Amino acid sequence: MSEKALVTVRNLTHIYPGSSGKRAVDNISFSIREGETFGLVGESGCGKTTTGRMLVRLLDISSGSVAFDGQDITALQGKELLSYRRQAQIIFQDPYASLDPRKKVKDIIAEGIDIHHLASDRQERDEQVSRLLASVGLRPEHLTRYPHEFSGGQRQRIGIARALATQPRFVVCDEPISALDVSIQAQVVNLLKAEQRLRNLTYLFIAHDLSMVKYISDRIAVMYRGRIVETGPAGRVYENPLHPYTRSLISAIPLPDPEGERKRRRIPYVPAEKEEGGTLVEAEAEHYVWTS
Amino acid sequence: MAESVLDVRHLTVSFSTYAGRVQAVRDISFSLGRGETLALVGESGCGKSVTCRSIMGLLAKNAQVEGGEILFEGKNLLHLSNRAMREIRGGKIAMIFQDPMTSLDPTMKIGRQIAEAVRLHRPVTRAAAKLRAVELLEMVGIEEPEKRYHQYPHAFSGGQRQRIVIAIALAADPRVLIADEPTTALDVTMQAQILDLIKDIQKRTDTSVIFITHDLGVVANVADRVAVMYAGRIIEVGLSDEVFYDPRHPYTWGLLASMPTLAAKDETLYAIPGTPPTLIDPAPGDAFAPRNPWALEADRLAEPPLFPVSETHAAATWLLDARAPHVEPPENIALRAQAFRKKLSERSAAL
Repeated sequence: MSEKALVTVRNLTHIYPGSSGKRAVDNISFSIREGETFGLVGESGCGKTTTGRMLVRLLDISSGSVAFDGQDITALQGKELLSYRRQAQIIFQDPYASLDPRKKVKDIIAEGIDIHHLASDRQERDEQVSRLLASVGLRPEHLTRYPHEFSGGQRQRIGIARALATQPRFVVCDEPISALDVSIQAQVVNLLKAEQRLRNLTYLFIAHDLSMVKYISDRIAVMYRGRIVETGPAGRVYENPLHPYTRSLISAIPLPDPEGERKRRRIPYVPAEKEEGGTLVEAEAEHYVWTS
Repeated sequence: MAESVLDVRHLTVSFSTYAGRVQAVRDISFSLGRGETLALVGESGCGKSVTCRSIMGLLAKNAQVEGGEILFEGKNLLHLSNRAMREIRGGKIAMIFQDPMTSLDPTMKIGRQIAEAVRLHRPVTRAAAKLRAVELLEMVGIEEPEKRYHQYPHAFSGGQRQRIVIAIALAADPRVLIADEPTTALDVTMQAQILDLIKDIQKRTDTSVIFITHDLGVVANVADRVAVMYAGRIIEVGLSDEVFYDPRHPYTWGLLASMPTLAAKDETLYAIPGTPPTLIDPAPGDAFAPRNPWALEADRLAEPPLFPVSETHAAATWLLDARAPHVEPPENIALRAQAFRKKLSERSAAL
């Protein structure tokens, strides 16, 4: 991992279309270093998925900016946007809804190869697809099958192969394991980590499962109601949570330890009436907390 | 253990499908003590939900109960008429489902939905049912219950809706509450509140709970006893402490080892290899054997019985047979046991 920021987000905001003017994501800033995993945690509706989708330009950026490797991608159009999308891919949460049921696995995986013309002929395309399939742990006979013939874990592997097909540098992993069974979650997380090491990938890992986020991430940001309330190195945020919301969230994670669960004291979080005009303040090295 | 309220004996259920006969539940036995919470844990397709649907008499049309009995108050529920079963279902045995939005009627005020459940099982007037509904809303922690009685489900958050579903389940003072992944659709902080609510109600009413989940953290929080299911069978059962700190089945080892702990940051997570088997014509022997690094020759030949480990703890693995070679559990499982023994000795030293 290098110190160089690959993705830099400044004052990013998403306002829902319509008259309500509600800010799904409200003026957030962070950067993701090349080769690291940046975890984004928070509860449903906090804006984490919206953030991930803006970063790969699947959702409009209402205001603020996103820079990728020094280039401002906020308003890219046409060919330039296409070229950005080759480098920035996304893995979706629901492996049942994100694969086209009428396409064979090899054509699903090759979608990016076709769109970006990454293979010069049919044979090269097939070779690339076969290599990707093998690297995510599927077998050659799976190539000509359809998504409905696979289990949830296998489908997520197909989704990962599809994302890796364009040889991206940055991948948004939007809750990639939360729809999977426990014994399969570990397989997929290990696969993501192995591919990251092999290809020097940079991940934005979005999840609500805090123990898994801590495990996989180098740094994390905690989101609440569209804002980042705390961000820092993964270990520090868990060992020394500074924002009351982070404390509440950590105190609510059930752990596979009955003795600990019996002694557990949950910390409720009561949001302050008005938290306008606050800012992130560095409390210890690289560890920031929202302070109003 | 306290007197048992519900006894499932040798339950075997299969489904006819186009692909063949799926043996979803294979010879399952357990009993549920009074006021006790038993967690049924396992992955999708392991048979935990089918087991509970059998108890509720809610199996799909293509299901066949091939054998066994479910004893409740001296009767075998599998032999009851539809009419008699309707009395018990939602009455003495109630169920909470995973998704509160699909178990509530979006076109009906929530108060009426609760009052309806009250009147279904008790001969009371409308006015009395309404009073009881308001009381139930208050019991499950809905503020301003009189006012909210008149609102529709869409006006409530996910967590509040699950509270309302719980209120409906409690309407007839059930003796047994079956909770099928009741917190899976909720956020962690909401989940924590709902788990507290279920435990609190249980303490006050002495209800017995069967809690179905795939989340071992939730199990550790709610369960007195745990039954781990795999491929339609119970492969390990015991007191919560026994299963979490002294697990004996390699599948239980794998499940526990594949969860990251907040303390450790290992390079690679332990992952159980492969995927669960299909239950159409399962191969002879132990269904877990193909994924089991500790599998013995015996596992491929015959299905292991449940070997007793203690009075309350048993596991279905040939590793517990007297003739089996001695096997050390993986390191982090051994560490769990060590840490627990240390805690116990500290506690007894303090006494």
